[in-house]
Amino acid sequence: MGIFSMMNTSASGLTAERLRMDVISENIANANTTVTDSGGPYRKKNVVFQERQKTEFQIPMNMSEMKNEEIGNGVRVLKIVEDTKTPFKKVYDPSHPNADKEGYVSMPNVNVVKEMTDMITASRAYEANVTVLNNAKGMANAALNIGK
Amino acid sequence: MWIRFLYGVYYGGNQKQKIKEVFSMKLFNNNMTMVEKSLDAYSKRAKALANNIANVNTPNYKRQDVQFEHLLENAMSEDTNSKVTGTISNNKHFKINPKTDLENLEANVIREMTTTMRNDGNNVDIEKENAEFAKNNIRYKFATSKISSDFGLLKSVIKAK
Repeated sequence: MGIFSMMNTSASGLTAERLRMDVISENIANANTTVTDSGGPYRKKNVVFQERQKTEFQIPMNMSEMKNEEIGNGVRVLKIVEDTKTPFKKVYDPSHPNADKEGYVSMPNVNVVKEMTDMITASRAYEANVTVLNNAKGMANAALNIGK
Repeated sequence: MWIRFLYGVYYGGNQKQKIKEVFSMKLFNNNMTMVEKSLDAYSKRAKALANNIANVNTPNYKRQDVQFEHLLENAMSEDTNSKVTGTISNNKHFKINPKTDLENLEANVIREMTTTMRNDGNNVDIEKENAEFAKNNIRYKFATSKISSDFGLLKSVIKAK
């Protein structure tokens, strides 16, 4: 456990929350996009977080010490998945070029209110990680001053 | 103890004895070891809490914590009268209140599996984590200033004319 490992942990939290924020802003920006490369309207994207454990190389070396749990190494983004479960919103607009035979247009399955609350959560979590990072710096400085 | 070290320097004994006194780690007494172990445990706990805060939005993540204070108390307690202590005469015996040596004391990392805070199975309470982090920070700062003042005492004794 190095002196900077705590900062790396917080930094991984910062990276993950920032990426979540990027995805949220993409969702909000595409809330009305009806044409995408894959055809059909835009699908809402979700971020999947996972606790970052030791690397695969380190695991066999520590198998004998299962009794004392290891401290994790922060968080990582496992994948970004598209929401295929929520149906598209149908809006009646016969003049729209993407309208079907009955005159309905498929709009993206993005719920802007939910995106807003997710954005607040992400930004608060980001701030919490910044606080931890600052405290970690304070601790490292205090350790440097031992014996002065 | 450093008093004994000084005694060795001024009032004699042979050279060998003096050298032995200096290097026999009596210079850094129990107190220093205790603070050192505390510093180890506090930095370990800070890492665990930082990990909890980083994983505040990870589904099914369970929080980690570090147990140290009661282990230290156990290792430091002088009186064995207050507790029943078992002696081991067969290797199939259970340990009853085992006494840990201060030198070998190590903080214990645990994971709280039994509680749940939110619908997604995560049990990190961000306010609690922040409060614990602040407390831990103050303890860490105290330990560093304590060890600094210990070194200061040693220094002033060494310099005394």
